[in-house]
Amino acid sequence: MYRHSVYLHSVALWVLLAGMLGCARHEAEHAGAHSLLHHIQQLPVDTIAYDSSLYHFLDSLAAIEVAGLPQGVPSFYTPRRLHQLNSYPCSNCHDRPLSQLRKEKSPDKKKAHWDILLQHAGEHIMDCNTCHPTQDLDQLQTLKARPLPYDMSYQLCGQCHTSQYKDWQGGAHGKALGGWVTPSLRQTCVGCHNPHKPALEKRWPSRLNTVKLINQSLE
Amino acid sequence: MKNLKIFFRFVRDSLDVATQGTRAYHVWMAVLTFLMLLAAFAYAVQIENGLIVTGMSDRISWGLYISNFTFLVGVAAAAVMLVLPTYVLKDVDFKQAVLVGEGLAVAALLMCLAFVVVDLGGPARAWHLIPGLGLFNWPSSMLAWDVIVLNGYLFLNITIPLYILIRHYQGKEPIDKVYIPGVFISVFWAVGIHMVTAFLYAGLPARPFWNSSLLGPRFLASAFAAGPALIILILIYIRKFSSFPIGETVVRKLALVATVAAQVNIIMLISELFKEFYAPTHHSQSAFYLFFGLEGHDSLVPWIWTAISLNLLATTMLTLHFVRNNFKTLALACALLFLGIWIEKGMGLIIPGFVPGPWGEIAEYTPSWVEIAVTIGIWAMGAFIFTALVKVALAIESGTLRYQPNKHTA
Amino acid sequence: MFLKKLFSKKSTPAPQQQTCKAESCSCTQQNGYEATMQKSMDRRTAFRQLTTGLLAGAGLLQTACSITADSESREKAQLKWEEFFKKNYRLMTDEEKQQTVDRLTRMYELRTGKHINMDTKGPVQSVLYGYAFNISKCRGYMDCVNACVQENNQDRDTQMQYIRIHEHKNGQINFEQAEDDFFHEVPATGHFYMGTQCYHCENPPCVDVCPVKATWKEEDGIVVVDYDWCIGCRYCMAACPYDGRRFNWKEPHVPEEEVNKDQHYLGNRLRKQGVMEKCTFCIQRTRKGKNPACVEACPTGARIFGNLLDPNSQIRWVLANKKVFRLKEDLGTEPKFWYFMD
Ligand code: SF4
Ligand code: SF4
Repeated sequence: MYRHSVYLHSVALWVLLAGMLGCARHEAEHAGAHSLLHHIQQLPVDTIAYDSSLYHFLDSLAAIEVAGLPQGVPSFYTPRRLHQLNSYPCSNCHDRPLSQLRKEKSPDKKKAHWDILLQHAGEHIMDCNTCHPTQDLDQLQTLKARPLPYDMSYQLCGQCHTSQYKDWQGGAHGKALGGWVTPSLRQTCVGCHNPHKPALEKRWPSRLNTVKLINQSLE
Repeated sequence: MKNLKIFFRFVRDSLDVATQGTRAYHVWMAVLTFLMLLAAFAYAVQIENGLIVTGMSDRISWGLYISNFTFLVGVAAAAVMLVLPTYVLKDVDFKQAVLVGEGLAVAALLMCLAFVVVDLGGPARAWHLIPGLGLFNWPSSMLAWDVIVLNGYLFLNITIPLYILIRHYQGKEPIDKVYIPGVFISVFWAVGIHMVTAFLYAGLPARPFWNSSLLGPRFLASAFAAGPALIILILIYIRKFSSFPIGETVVRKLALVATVAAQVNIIMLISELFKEFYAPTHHSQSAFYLFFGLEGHDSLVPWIWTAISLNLLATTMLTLHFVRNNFKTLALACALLFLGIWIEKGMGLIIPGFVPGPWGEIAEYTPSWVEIAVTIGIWAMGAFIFTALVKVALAIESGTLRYQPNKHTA
Repeated sequence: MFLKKLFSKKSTPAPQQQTCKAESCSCTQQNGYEATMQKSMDRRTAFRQLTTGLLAGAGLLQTACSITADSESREKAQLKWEEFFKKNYRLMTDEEKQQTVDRLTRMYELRTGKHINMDTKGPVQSVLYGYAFNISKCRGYMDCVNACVQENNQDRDTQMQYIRIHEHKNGQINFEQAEDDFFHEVPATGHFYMGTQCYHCENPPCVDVCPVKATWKEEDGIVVVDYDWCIGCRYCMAACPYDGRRFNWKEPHVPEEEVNKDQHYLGNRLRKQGVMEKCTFCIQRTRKGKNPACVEACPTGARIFGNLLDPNSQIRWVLANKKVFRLKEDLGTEPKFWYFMD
């Protein structure tokens, strides 16, 4: 054992002296001296694909592959947004310009979108028009006024929330749906955040933490 | 064949001796039996309902049982203080007393094993611990080591005196070649059992209070103080109430051992206190809890200060020659010392190891009636075994019990 | 809203498998009254004797051989007898594993008349599980705790929980000052939350100390307990620096209708009195590719789980791109559980 490691050391030394690549490999054989992470990176790798049932799951959610990922970021899926919109296409009502609709004295007019209260970044920064183009409401629009389908709404959010967007693409932000195997499925931005009021509200925890507290309240 | 016959006769005669005695002897044994029965009842309650009937919890997961176990390992190890001078240094003075020490070791070890078993959540599955039958995690687990060393020590402490007694029983002298190697092993083994038990705790980085290199030596010092203290008490008692000749020198020499050990123990205590309190770190929380209490939780504080006062007082008394040389005051000092170390090495060592918990939770521990009853019962069992063993041993050593090949068996 | 819908969709249990085997079909006729009777019968005859230490063997054998006992209680005693003397899980052959699973499912059936599925699926090749926890995202909702308790059949009476959520004041990560018993709307202003559980250490001290090898680290890095081999000495509990272990101080109790019947031998199968248990990264789920119940239940996405050996996994991205840390790294336990912030 001892001789063996001496041998490895000298090999490593020579390799190092020769200025060749691959000394790291020899080093890795003395795993004990390294961190777990380092060790993990040396182990054989594999991406576990899941059986067909997850694909059924993806189907049931009508998931689509996320577009526009940077180079090297593994692909993943997200639930389609369009399937969750109740009165899509918007053009059913918005078939005339907004200015004209405003002039009409329709009885439902006041009620339309009554529940939407925009609380996002402040009025002086954002209004409905920032994301919804008046000329074509069936799509979203980017800051550069280019059309963007609802299913790709995450790109809209990513225009300002760049760090969150990057984390989401990589996997550090956003709730995982499905399992840990590929294909991986992640909630899209608007799946959790109401785009008109993105901040999450406080609520009661779904249970009390410990026995102690229960006992106290019983006494 | 003949040997077997002698052995059976020996067992029968011993049983005779152990079951006969004065009225006081019978009352004493009856009281102990009663306590054991009470403990058996309490243990049945514990078996039925689970360890929930004890004061232990996920926070403080070892309590009175393991505390007593730890302390008693020390008592068992202390037998070496009689064995070493008798057999190895050939000090004739100790010859009379050594069997008392070995009897004490046997009783203490049986108590240790009993305390471990009652602490188990699944005593029915304890057979998993038997090498061969079960699966023994040796050498990795210190508890596995402890099982080995305790049973090994028990074996040594049963066989060596048994051999000597059987020889004496036949009126012969024991042959050195047969038992001296065993004695040498047992001397190292005695140190071993206590070190291993200390390592059981010291090997846990998760519990900074125990994870100290001083724990092992401190265990030894306190064991060599408390064990001889108990033996002195017993010897003084035997001197007083029986005709068995025990020399004054034995008691004096033992008292000297106890004194030195107690002094060393105090030095180590000071060293620990210094380390914990001069530059307190996060890891000193347990010591703070023990000595001063944390956030209003201070159930151990009176105990530990009592223990420290007792230790200091007893050590001072023992250090003074005129106190040590007077058997009355010596007995008092030994009793104080024993009690002080019992608190300090039992509850004072085990419980603070768990407080605060890994995430700073502070919980208090109070033993339940079940635990107390079982503990008293196991001590009673130890006393019972010890009394019987010593009674037989003294009968043989004083020559009243001898093998009579032609005696008719009734 | 959608999220809620999604959860409810996912949390409706898969249709119970009605594949009651022919020989066990008597179970369906058993009504509640009989079941209760069975239970008390059971307690009287076999179980009490089983736990009464040394007498266990004799008592069981007696019941097993007795001609007066009816066939069902004899079968039960027989099963318990065989269960009692089975091997450590790691020494079992595949066949023996199947036998003990059959016994356990049969025993449950005899007791309750219901069928459970028990799995012994081994580790998947080249998988090492890891976990990351985003302390900026956790909001102290405790949904994970609920999901964990339900998924893993933890004792309801003592409210055993594998996960703890600690509420820290902004400005410090000091567990001694943290509040574990918060009782207010969350997240509380000026506070953040941090979950702890078993970290499935790569160098688990709990495993080293077990005297009977009743707990070990599987190839995929999950630290498990063989509930039938553990003797309940609680040494592992003292050795764990992370409060990762829980002990059954009493007979655990889960109402029959709440029992999760999709079980794994090393995971969420029902435990007994006096044994250790702990988080298993939901071994019954994760070995089938699912996420652990806590990950699935957390609505904030604070919990991330995956294969450390897969360079394309979410967890590897987190480790490579976020500033991560672990707790008590100085102990050298190498937890496979990282914390990070946005
Ligand atoms: S966290 Fe504790 S129980 Fe979990 S593997 Fe590490 S030491 Fe063991
Ligand atoms: S409690 Fe069980 S798992 Fe833990 S060390 Fe003891 S026997 Fe092993």
